[in-house]
Amino acid sequence: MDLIEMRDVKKHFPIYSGILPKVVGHIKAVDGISLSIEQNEVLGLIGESGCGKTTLGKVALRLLDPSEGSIFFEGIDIAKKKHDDLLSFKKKTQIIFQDAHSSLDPRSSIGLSVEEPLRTHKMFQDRAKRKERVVELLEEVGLESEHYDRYPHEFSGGQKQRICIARALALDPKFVVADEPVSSLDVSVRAQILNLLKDLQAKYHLSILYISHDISGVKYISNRVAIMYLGKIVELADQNEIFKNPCHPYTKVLLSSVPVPDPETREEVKLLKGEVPSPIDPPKACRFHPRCDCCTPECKEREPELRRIKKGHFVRCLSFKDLG
Amino acid sequence: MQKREILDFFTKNRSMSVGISILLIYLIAAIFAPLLSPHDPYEQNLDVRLSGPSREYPFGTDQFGRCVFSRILYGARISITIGIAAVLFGLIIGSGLGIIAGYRGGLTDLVLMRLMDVLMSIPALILALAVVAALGRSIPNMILAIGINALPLFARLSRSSVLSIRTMEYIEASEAIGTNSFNIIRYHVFKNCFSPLLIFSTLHTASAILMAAALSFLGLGVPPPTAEWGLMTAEARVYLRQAPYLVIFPSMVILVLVLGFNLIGDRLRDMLDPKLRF
Amino acid sequence: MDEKPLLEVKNLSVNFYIRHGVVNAVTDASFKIRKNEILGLVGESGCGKSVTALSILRLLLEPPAKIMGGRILYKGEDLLEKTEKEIREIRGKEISMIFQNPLSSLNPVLTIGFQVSEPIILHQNLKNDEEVKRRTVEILRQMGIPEAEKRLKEYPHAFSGGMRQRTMIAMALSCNPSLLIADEPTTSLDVTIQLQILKLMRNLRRDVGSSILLITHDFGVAAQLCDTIAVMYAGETVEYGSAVDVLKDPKHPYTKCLLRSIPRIDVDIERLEPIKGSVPNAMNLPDGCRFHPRCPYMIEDTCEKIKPEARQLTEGRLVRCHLYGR
Repeated sequence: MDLIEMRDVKKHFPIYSGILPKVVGHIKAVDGISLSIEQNEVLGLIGESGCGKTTLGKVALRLLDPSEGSIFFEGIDIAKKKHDDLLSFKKKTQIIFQDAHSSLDPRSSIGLSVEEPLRTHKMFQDRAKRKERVVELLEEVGLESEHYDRYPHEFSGGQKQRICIARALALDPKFVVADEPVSSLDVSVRAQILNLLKDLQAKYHLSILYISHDISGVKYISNRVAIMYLGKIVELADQNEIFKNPCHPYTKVLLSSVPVPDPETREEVKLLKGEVPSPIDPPKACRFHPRCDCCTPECKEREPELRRIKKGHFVRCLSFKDLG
Repeated sequence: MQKREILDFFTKNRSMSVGISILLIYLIAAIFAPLLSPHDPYEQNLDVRLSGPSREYPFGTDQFGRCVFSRILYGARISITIGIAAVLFGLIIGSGLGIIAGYRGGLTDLVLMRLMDVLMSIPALILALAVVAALGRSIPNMILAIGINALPLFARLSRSSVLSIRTMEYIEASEAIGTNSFNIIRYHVFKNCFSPLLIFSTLHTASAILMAAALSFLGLGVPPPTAEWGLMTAEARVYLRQAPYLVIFPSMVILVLVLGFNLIGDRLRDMLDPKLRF
Repeated sequence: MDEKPLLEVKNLSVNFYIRHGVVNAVTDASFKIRKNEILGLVGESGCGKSVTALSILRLLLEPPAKIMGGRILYKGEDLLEKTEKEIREIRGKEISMIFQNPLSSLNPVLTIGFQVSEPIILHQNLKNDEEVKRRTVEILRQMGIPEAEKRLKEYPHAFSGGMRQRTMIAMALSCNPSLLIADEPTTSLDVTIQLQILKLMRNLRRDVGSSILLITHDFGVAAQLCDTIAVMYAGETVEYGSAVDVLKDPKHPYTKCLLRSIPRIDVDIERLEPIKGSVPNAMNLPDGCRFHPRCPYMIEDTCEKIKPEARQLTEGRLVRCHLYGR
């Protein structure tokens, strides 16, 4: 069953200019995305910087208000609800940021940071019980109870991310957005956090939207993978399907660009031509056509739909059928 | 153990301890002025007018034969009260406005900050003169006049720290949890913009004391015969040739107090910077 | 392969003296780069790899930094003994460097043309404006910047991240240096752009014959580009050897564990094996072998007490570990 379903969600940021601010254009960060995440599923969202993947994550949690479209969470549309009515939604959803350092208040102790969600939602009114719960959470993520009174600057990057994960788990959420949770960590610590996320996901049957540009990490943790380019999803498939059989030309280039730690497989990979176009004025029709090697005249005319080519495998490309 | 820690702190923070000692001496002087002063500060003794420092009158006497030392002790009460009260006024109201402006943004921010700009565009002393001239000469009015000057400074400072705190991810994390604005300000914003405000308050107390003295010097502060340092300097300037100590002692006293506040403020800035704290 | 190395770093040690104590940023780094070779200096943040690079060009701010010992031989001469004037002659002309963040490495208020031509004017004695311009356009074009001539008058903000990094490389290469030091040149870039930069550096070696010291934390990047790899951990080079040897048959436990802990796109991994603990604080390093608290192969009574020396296993293969050669 779908836990969260986004239908044609758009997020356009207005650009102001002039002395008397006037809207002169829009940054189309998310431009018509339909995506659903099932219960107990990790959906990996891959895209290059500026493609709108972080914006999509924030819109899904209503940290940003969508410009258009609807978001169904447990069957209820939360896209247009007022912020005051979102308390029960926020209780069931959480976010983990890339930079664990700046997502912890430097002047709050670890205990205070982790119990904030409990305080906000008026759970465990009894102080001793609340502390007990916080300690339980800290232990769950591999920290110790004596860390309760310490401050963030006393911890290493990996430990800070563990604290953030503990805070995210405090309310037993159903849906978690993890925005590049390991990108800022040391290489030798990344695996610890990836494994922790994987274990917690399995234990609590969490649904996770795992946003990252680290393709190998996404491959490791995700059940399904979506590839995003300039505000749109260009390909969506199961993890093993997309890595074995990428169909969109962009996906192909992207996946083959990942450097493999094996000096004996140095392939001459095709380079992507040109630069990523601006999301203010993206190319008409297929957004990838100016950089695509299989671009046909039709690609410059007609906007492709995200169509199903196999069970669970969707591609937004007109020329795909020709490639067979 | 406790004692050693305190001792450690003072040996490590030389300038801080000098500042605190200065402040303590002034506070003691202000609080215990009636006990410490050898004479009544308002008692005139025309027999000994304009006599230099002596055992009887440590800082000499003024043109009415009043004991300058006693007047300086009593003057500490007024100067410190005005300095601290004016800064508190600026701190509470100014930073309150600044936090609201910074956190709410948009129109609230625009209106509040333009108002502050208007206040800021008027030279400090002229604004203070205008307030006192309009409301009359008294200590509360002086506090108000100096406090209004501090408003835009505190508002700007707190607004800019709030703006930088707002973009931090822990605020967003709090929003994701569902914490409301009031609690976010209470738990996160306030705690994090407190230290720059504290530092600025300490430093600004020094300027507030200077401005109080300046206002009195210009004849728009407290009315005579009140014992106030600025006023004392103003009255004594006529006798600068005959009795220079009349100007020197009150000025020195102002200088040292301002120095004390500055020493504390500078050191606080180093200590409270979280980047230097680990 | 007993060609004389172009650059040899021997037992380099660098400390930082800060308010709270001494940071042992680099304690024992040794490696060499031959002519026309690409060496990867691989390690995590804080292992001392950037400090090592900065010491080669003598760009460390002293104080707080202080080079405690060791030698840096460039073409047989010790760079640490050169005067400031002599080293300035070498910087940019013989050895040049590119940094991680292309955004802050370019001055936002100067045009691209001005910034790229600066080292040319400085080191190549080209007095003629026309000639300088021609050379500037030529290198920008080599770096694959489209419409290079028009772009000369533009400012850095008009360039994308990849183009900025290519401009940085263009600047570094403008005098055909013998050695290019690249400090995490692709870390802030997307994979597709990273690939362009890697290809550019490969071509550079082929066309100009430069040697490259590539500093990276990414074994993938190192594998794709480097001939030899030196692995650094907590200020020491722990393993040195050809890229194939180090990555295919790692000897040091740190290299072994690190390779096992990274997710890979080319292999399906059921479960990663993370290294326990975290990178030690450079102000408080463990005794004996610096990796021993995290090492699964630790030998009781040896690793925590005796500091291992770098031992040669075979020709050109060094490992700093008690497991070998006792």
